[in-house]
Amino acid sequence: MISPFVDTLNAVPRVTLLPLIIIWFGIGIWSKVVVVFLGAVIPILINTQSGVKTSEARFIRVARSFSASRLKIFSSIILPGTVPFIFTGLKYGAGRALLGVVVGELYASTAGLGHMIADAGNTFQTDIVFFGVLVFMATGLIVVALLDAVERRFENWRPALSRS
Amino acid sequence: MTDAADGRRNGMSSAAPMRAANEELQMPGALRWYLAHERVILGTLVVMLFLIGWEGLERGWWADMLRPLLGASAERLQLKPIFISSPTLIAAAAFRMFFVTGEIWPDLAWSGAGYVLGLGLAIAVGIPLGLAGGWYRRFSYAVEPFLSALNATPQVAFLPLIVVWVGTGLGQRVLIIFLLAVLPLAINAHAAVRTTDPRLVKVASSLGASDWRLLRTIILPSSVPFLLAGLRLAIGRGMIGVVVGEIYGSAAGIGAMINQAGARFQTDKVFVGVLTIVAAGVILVEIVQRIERRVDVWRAPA
Repeated sequence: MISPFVDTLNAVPRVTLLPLIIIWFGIGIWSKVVVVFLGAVIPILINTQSGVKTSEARFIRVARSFSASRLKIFSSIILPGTVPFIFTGLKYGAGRALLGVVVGELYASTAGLGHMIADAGNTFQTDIVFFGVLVFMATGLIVVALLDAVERRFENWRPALSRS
Repeated sequence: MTDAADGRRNGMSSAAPMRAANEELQMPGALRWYLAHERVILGTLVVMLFLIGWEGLERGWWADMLRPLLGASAERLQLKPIFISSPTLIAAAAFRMFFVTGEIWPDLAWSGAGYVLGLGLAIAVGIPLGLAGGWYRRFSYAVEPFLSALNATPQVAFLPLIVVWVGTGLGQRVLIIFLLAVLPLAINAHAAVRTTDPRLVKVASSLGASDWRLLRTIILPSSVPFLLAGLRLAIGRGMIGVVVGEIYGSAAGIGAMINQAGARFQTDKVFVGVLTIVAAGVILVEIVQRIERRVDVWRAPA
């Protein structure tokens, strides 16, 4: 039921909605929140969905024949199997979110790092622009590293794949 | 038959698969047709409801309908066209812009030129770079820090710098599209070489094949799916580049048109621009998928 909307929204480069979002939410923090949300929600949603779809059918059948409840099946088979997909989506979404912050603030904002970069660019203070870009770069690296760490924490039950 | 009849008399409580199958054969035709096309029907229905709900918000259908219940506060259900526009207004604006005034064509041509140049440059640089990085280990060590740093940065943050370097003309848009599109291409090409079947490479090189021969007959054919997947990502990233580049500093193009229409509260024009970009993206991705099917016919089904 929601897939037509998800597919459509996925085809839209979300930054094109920025002028509309500004009309709807103004140039304050909320327009950035909406842009970041729209950018990040789609990869997370699609990845999680495909994670649930690819959960091992045999496990579910076994659990069902031992009369596991739906909640039990969800919490002990589907959720653990979906974790790698969720994290792939999260990592992708984190990148998109950062993009949303930059674009949102370049486009219309009164504060923020993106605003600082745009301002410095307009006044040819190239050093400040580079510094802002480096801060974004560091943020991206840190977020991905954090997500990796959390993923390892949730994945350490999984037996290591032998390298072929 | 009796089984199925039994099943129905007992309601749906019996879950034996045999019975369920019989049940399905006994269903009336309309229901069976519905179940076969459930995905399409439900999807269409929800989309229609969404569009009608939207149209109603703008035309005040819901406000009129609920006025007896809510009184004066029902007015809040009628929104101004500058705020949300409506499907019919958008369709009318699209018709006007494409066929009556034709004002969108120069913008399309201008954006298209930047897009083709940027994406072409990204393909010309990204794929060889990725292939070389996958093949020559030392080269990969040398460029990897740059690629992963660039990958972690939202590339759009370079936009103010690009404007300082090359101004706000065609060069700016080509560069930002290139920056956004080059990474997925390079990364996928790199991964493609890395996942080439090492046995094939070993056999070929022990039979004395040259590097060039290896590249042409083993590595390139096996990396086609990766390269096309990268291209599909790059197409989407490039679209972002078009819009952001033109929003930030440009007088012509679809992104600039969206930006100006938004600034003047011409919401219907904004939607026309967004939908045009979506259509262009969908068409390009479809073309890549066609190529993918075409190029991959020699591959044995997995």
